[in-house]
Amino acid sequence: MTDGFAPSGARLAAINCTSCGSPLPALAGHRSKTLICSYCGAVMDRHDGYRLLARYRDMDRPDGPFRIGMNGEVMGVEQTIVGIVGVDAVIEGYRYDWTNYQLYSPTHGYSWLTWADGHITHSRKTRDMPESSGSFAYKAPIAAAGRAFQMFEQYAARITYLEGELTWVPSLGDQTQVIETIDPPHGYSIVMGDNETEFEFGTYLDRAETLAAFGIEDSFPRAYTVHAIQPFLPGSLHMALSKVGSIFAIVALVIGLAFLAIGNGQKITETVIVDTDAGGSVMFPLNRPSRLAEVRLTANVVNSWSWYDMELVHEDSDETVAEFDGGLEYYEGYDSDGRWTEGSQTATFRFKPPAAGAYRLTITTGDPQSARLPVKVEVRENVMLSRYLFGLAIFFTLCWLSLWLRSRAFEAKRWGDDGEDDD
Amino acid sequence: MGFDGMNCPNCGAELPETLTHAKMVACRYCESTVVLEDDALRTAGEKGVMAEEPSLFVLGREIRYRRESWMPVGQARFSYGTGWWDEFWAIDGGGDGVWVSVDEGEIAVERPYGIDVSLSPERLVRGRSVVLNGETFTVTEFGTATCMALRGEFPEELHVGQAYQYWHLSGSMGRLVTLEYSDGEFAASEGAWVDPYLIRSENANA
Repeated sequence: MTDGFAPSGARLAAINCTSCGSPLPALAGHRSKTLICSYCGAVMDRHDGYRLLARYRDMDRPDGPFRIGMNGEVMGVEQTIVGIVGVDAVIEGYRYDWTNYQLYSPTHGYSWLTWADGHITHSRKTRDMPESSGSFAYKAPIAAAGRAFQMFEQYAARITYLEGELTWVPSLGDQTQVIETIDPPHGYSIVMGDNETEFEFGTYLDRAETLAAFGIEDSFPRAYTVHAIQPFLPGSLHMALSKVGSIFAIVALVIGLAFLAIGNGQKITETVIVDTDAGGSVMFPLNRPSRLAEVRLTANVVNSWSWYDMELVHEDSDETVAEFDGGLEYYEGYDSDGRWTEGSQTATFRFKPPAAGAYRLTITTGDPQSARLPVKVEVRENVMLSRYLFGLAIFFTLCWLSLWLRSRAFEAKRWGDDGEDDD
Repeated sequence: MGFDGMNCPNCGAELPETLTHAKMVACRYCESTVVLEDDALRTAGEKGVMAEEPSLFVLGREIRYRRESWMPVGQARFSYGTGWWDEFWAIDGGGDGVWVSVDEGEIAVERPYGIDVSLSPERLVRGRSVVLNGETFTVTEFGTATCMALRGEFPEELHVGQAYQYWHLSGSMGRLVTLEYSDGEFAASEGAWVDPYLIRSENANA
């Protein structure tokens, strides 16, 4: 058994377990202190002739895509997986577990790749201590490593599995107190052991890219939860829809407001028909063919209704251009909430005149009650409707806001404010 | 002293012009280390064998870290029993020298540090507090290192095979002080740790 540390390139890459004799890879550098046998759970001291320190039999390797000896690029650095540590924690009554993979790079040292519920993160030791020593209350701001983090959660992490080469002497069941703060896609953790406190800087990694970097096919269940440091990354189609929506919403609103200001058209005639029972008529000229015109009827109906039939005839051709029928109804009263009204004393009918010229509008009603009410007839031409543009403005605003709404829902899920349990 | 073409006293090879800024240089041609002393050169022993290892730091290749830059000009390798580390002497953007220690991704940059108290090696035990220049530090690591190999230039005389006692002291806000004890004398340097993931170099993914 040999695993020398001389920097001569002569270091052998395998040893045999001093407990069970199984061949084990020696992949890490000289700062790794222990080697835990994959077969018998023996914990050996690398700095003391692989002396047996402890043995943990029947450990079940936790779920995860990585295995010891795999190589891949993480954070732009070629890394090798040299150890595995299973961890669990009980947070607010729920048990969570995840798997930490010890990474080793000869140039960048030791760091962690973590597989948690289908998410992958990278974390490394940092010497940057928190710049603010204020409270660690939920969502409290914490400045560290040049970033503004927010307090996320704290818990006791317990070791449930050990394998491979590690930089300290671990024991199964060891616990550390962890304070997690977040600034997606980064996290900053304060890890407090029995003898020392360490600080870790984390980064959320793209799962597909990371697995591909290690040559692993992604056949693992997709992540349904939102990870604490997972960034909100909407699809490009949604981004484009939101951007287009923001532009079109403003355009539709501006045009709609312009129509509202100038779209009332020009009044052509206004008259009052006293007795529609006999069939009153109104003559008027229309000079803007193909532009919208409207007939507006107003009658003083109160707690009643009236009904009118109308026929619009183009005088020059003697052709009926349009026939309308419609009613006015208006009710009012008082109840426990105060005064109320319902309906309208005005009705509007729109049409598009086929040609310029004189038009005759005939109004009749067979209802005796309606016939007794004078009705004011107002005709306008060159009318522009703003309501469709306001409708479009609302639609595009919703497209625009959908990104923000999705982001809000994403954040609610991250912080557990969505009323759903992630477990 | 201006440079006027100095040669290795052992093999006669021309020494680099940068020797005018250093006190010691390892001859590129023979196995000698050469010390500049009172305008005269003398050999100071063998330079040892420097096995090539992957490193972010390579002699003559500039390193950038945040808003700083360092040009490594000398590399000394020290063994501490269970491993080794490289100590680079580098020139920063302002022309000052810094020590950069590199041990499997643990990187610290330190500058010479004058200390105002007399120390004794026996009192420097792990966990003990030490006040240096009014600042309190805690001894976090102690060991003995032996120089294994030398390459390039250094501001002080180093010898292959020489043993040094060293202590790492940690202060507030990531402050770091290293004490070295050899031949009855203490030398100190102070600085901070460096995040290797923020280093920019042609060798960043070596």
